[in-house]
Formats: sequence, structure tokens, C-alpha cells
Amino acid sequence: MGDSQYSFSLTTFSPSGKLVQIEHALMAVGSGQTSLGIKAANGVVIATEKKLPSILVDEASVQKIQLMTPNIGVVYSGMGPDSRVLVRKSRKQAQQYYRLYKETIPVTQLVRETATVMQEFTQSGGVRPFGVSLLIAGFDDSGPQLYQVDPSGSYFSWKASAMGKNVSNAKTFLEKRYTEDMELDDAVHTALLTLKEGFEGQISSKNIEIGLISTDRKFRVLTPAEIEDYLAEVE
Amino acid sequence: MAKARVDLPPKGGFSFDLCRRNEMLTKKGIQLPGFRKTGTTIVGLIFEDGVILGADTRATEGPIVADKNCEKIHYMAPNIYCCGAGTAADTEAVTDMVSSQLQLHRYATRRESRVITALTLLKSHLFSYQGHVSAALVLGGVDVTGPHLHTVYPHGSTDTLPFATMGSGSLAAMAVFESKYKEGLTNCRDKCRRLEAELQLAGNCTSAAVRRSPVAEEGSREMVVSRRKRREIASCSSRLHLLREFGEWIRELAREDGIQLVGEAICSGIFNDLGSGSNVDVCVITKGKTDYLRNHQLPNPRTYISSRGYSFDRGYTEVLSTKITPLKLKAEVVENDAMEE
Repeated sequence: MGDSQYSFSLTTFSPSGKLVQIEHALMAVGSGQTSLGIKAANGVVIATEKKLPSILVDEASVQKIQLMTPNIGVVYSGMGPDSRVLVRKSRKQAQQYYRLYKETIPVTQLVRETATVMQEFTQSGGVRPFGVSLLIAGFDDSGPQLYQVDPSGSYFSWKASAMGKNVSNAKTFLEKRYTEDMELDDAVHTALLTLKEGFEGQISSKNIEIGLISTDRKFRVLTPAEIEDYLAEVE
Repeated sequence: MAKARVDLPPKGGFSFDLCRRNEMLTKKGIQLPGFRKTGTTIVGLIFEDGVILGADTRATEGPIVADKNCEKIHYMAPNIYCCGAGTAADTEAVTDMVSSQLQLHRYATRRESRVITALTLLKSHLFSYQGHVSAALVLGGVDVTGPHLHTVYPHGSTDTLPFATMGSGSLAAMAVFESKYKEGLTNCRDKCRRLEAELQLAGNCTSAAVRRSPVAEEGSREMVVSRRKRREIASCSSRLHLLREFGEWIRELAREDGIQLVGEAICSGIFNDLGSGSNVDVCVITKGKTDYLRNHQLPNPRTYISSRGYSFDRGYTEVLSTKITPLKLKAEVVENDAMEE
């Protein structure tokens, strides 16, 4: 982290007290594809658009929603390659936590470790902040949890959140639709409706991705067939 | 211009700084603390569908049994398990570490782990420590390429074998394997083929006998003989037919044979090697399913206090002195009438 020539940080304060690089990173996130997450009473669902740059891209090989541990999944908005680096680091940290404490890492701990990494890159020499915001969904002994981590390294627990291009519309929609005692299936329907709101073109099982975790504590990404079923229910 | 101080894990390897001090201490007569070794019998064998691993459960610290029921079969991946002999801490740490690495690899590749991957990770770690990590392992598992069984030695060399034993009880266990392995565990395809060959032979012999015997005088006798033989052959072929139909049954037999053989080998180690003892753990790994049979056999039950109780006569224990202290009466005992009703 930081060559000898760049032992000074590239993220420096502006006179008004802002870290401009982080603001720019948030702009990068804001121009990324929409993704959202909803915490239900018995689980969490995260979803994202999967718009590929061309019809020639093999869509089966692209998976935006990733697993960090068997009970924690993550989706991003922003720069894909940056998210890969973070997911890899987080997976390693989860393993190290297990090796040290012989306990599967709680969601809050993993979020904190990930956020720490993102913060380090705003204060190290020669590196730039990550151009992604992450939505981390998990289910552990404290129940279902949904966290959003920003390029600055700050994180919050959300009941429902959205990020990316259509964030303001999506958040308004979610504010109206969200209820505390939502079941997981309802949450999936709401997520689909929210994605549909700002979707350019026809929504289908090929251009969105949904991941969910329920009381069985196993995070899984839905197959296109399952997404079709949910879409049919929503219609 | 802050450079983030990232907490790097300590660099690996041994630091030999204190060796001189230790030498000086031993010269002065202070003994180095001992470490827990597992005097062990661990075995593995490949059978029809997969791999069976077995281990005893005694952990020793010199002449003392430190743990009567420890687990020597370690988890590496859902389809790969590893038995460990040598220093208990080394086997645990090294298998934990490789299990962790395999999990990360599975996340990255989104595929089931292969036995050869675990093997290479283990051997390169052990080799880099030049034998100072005293872990002798029997690694077995089933992956897309089939069932595999390997042994790993503390210096980092490996063997790939159909049946293997390690630990202080390895000779006792190997004696059992070498004498019984082939018999118990030919795969059922072989069994069927052999049976077919035998029946062919029997069939040919009978038809030859029928052809050669004279028709006229021996007519009735020959008929009787051939009818009996024919019945024999019929019953044989129906058996073969049954065998073909109940292929599953034969496979079950091979698995039970395998578990029994492993149990025998471990018991041989338990009873004939002083470093091994207590119970038998077995782990059966097949494609898609793993059965961890913890304490599959308990050949050394602990006999606790007899339920009948013990009675000791006076005089068993020598009485050195007697002192009687009367307790102060706190309550007055009032003589009651006997209870009526």
C-alpha cells in the first residue's frame, strides 16, 4: 500500500473540510447500476440490475452478488473490479476470524473489517478510495441484518436501502412500501417492484440478480427460473 | 502524509534466537517441557465407492494418557478428511490452516475442493518447515476425479496408496491390511465377473459329462445326474440374476466389509501398540455423502463402581488412632410416644 515515491496520501482535505476524493468516489457509485436491499422479519434480500455492456457478453459467467461466508452475502454499486478486491479481502478476514476465535464471524464484525479496509485506502500513500458502495446482508445470532458501507468507510445498518443510479426514486418507493413485519417473500416482491420502477427496458430474469438469506442461515443467489417465478407473481 | 499502519501478521518461520539459552539451561540441568504427542494408529483405505478413514482416540504425553477420547480425524472440506499422527498441536494447526485455505479457494472457484489440492497445500507447508512441524497425515476424500488416499510425512513427502497406515501402531494395522485387504474389498463388478466365470466352468463341465456318458444303459442314471446338475446350474444362474439385480446389496457389503476391516486394523493397533488405545473413530467418504462415525467401536469400556456396591470388612484399613468428640446437644430430644395409626 503506497510506493516509496507516494508515501503521502492522495486524499486530502479541501478548505471547506471535505475530502474531495471521497465525494468523487460517491459520484462513481451514483452512476453505477442500481442495487437495493430489504431486511424482512425472517430474512434479508438484496437485488441488483445486471446490465451487460453488450449482448455478446456471456451473462451466465457474470455474478454480481457474491458470498463472503455461508451466511453473509454482498452486492455492490459502482466499479466491479474494486468490489472484487473488497470481497476477496473480506473472505480472508472471515477465515482468519474463524481460525482465531473458532466462531463464525458475526455480521457486524465483518462489516467493520470491510469498512476498515475501505477507510485505510482513504488515508494511505499512493492509493485511491474504492469506487463502490456495498450492501452486506447476513443472518447470525442477532437475526437478519443489512448494512451499507460507503467509500469513506462509514457504515450504517438499514431496514431497506438502495444505491446507484436510481437511488432517490428507489428510496422514496421503499420508504412508502416498507413495513416492519414484512415476510421474506413480500420483501422479494417489493424489491422487484422497486427495481422495475427505474428499469430501462424490459425487466427479466436475465438482467437482474437476487440473493436472499432466511432463517436457514444459508445465503444463496436465486436461479433465473426462481426469479421468473417471482416476476410472474409480481405481474 | 500518514502512512496507514496496517497490522501485518507476524512473518512465518522459526526464530532460533533462544537456542543458545536453551542449551545453557539444559547443561545446568533444567529440563525442557515436554509436548503432547499422539502415539497413534491411523489408517485409510479405498473401497468400491470411496474412502474409509479410521483412527484410535488416545493422546499421550510420554507415558501418560493425556486424552482418552480425542478426535484424530480432522475436517478439511465437506468431501475431504484427514487423520493426523505426531504432535497434536502440529496436526491440528496444519489441518485447520489448510481447511481455511480450501474454503477460500472454494469461494473463488465455486467448485468442490479436490484432494490433490489439499495434498499440495499440506506438503508444501510441511516441506518449508523442513520436518520441524511434526505432522504425519493420512488424507482421504472423494472429488470429481474419484476417490483418493494419500499419506503425508513430516518432511513433506507423500505417497498415494490404496490402503495406508501411519503412527506408532502403523505396523500392527498394516499387518491386518496386508493380509486381508484384497479379500474383503474386491469391487462388486469383479465379484460378479468371477461368479460368472465359475458358472461358465460348471456349465461346460456338466454339458461335457452329459455328452460323454453313454445313452443306452446309463440312460436313467445319467438323466438323474444331469437333472441334479441342471438344478445346480439353474440355482447358480438365478443367484447371479439375483446378484445383478441386487447390485446395491453387494455394494453395501463392500462398504460394511471396508468399515469392518478398518475397525480391525485400528483395534490391532489399540491392543498391540502402547501408544494407541481407547476407541475407534471411522469416517466413510463417498460421492456426495460423508459419514463421520465418532466412537464407532468402544472396545475399552471403563468399569466404574459396581452397582452392587462394595463391602469392606473392618480391619482392611489399619487404624492408627481413635479420637471421639461428643457433639454438643443443640436440641432436646423429647421422648415421644410411639406413633399411633
